[in-house]
Amino acid sequence: MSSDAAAASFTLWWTRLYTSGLQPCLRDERRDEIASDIFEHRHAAATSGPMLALAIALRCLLGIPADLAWRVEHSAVAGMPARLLLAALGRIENTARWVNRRGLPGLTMLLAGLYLLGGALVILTLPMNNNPDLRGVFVFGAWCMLAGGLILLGSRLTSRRPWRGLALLLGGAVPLGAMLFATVIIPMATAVVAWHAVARSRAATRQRGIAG
Amino acid sequence: MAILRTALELRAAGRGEFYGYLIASSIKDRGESRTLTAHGTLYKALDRMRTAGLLTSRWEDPQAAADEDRPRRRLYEVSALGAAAFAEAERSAPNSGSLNPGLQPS
Repeated sequence: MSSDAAAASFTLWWTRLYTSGLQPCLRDERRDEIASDIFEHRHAAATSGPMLALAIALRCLLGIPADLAWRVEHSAVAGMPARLLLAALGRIENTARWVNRRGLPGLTMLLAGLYLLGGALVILTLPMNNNPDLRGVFVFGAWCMLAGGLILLGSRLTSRRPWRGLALLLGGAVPLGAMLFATVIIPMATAVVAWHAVARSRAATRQRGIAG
Repeated sequence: MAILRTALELRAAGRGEFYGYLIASSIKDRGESRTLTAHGTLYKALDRMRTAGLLTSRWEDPQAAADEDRPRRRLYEVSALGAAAFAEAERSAPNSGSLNPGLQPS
């Protein structure tokens, strides 16, 4: 199976999953519409292969929050839990849009935010006693909060003060990377700095062009 | 707005009816919104616009699709209400300038 066929199959599988249990008419319409979309996408592409697979997979993955929100909207389940879920999914969808607009820095800030929240959650859910067995978990939570906070601050600072931002990013990413996802976080933090450096360089070139 | 604008441009170019992938690729070509071209976001937006009366839709004849050996398309069209809503939004938007004559409500 080619990579674009695999991406198409995944998208169709996901569509079957989130439409299952809906009214047959609604369910079949959405499934047919996505099947048609994928067919047209593959048909219109000049070449098949990894790039097409990536395009199909991205269109599927970026739309998942909206798919879930749509599912809840059309779900037979009504009442408060559904409304709460809908509101939460709306927030997730807005976050996905924000991350998409901001690109790599946005994704890094989202991950850092998740570390910050995750760390806070770990600490807040620990029982309030002096159990020495839980001390390591507390340190882990605090470490995640600190690293997430440093990366968030660093990401914000990089556009204005690149070196200070880089120091904070690495200060957060390297120790965190030593524990978790070193191969993801460190290159991402470095790429964020490079991203901003390129943006600054372009802006400076534009300014010079205007001045000239 | 991106969907209505693109759909009205397609209409001005002689494509009164459009289907999901066509509008997604047109939006992508305009570089207007990458997120909007995601399956979930696009079809949820189309669904809401149809419910609001801004778009009408119909499924194409299965035989026509079978003749071309492809799945049938759901065809959308901007309604008079949708065109009017777009024109109104353009008028009220700051610095919108004059409307492209091709995008005027018919």
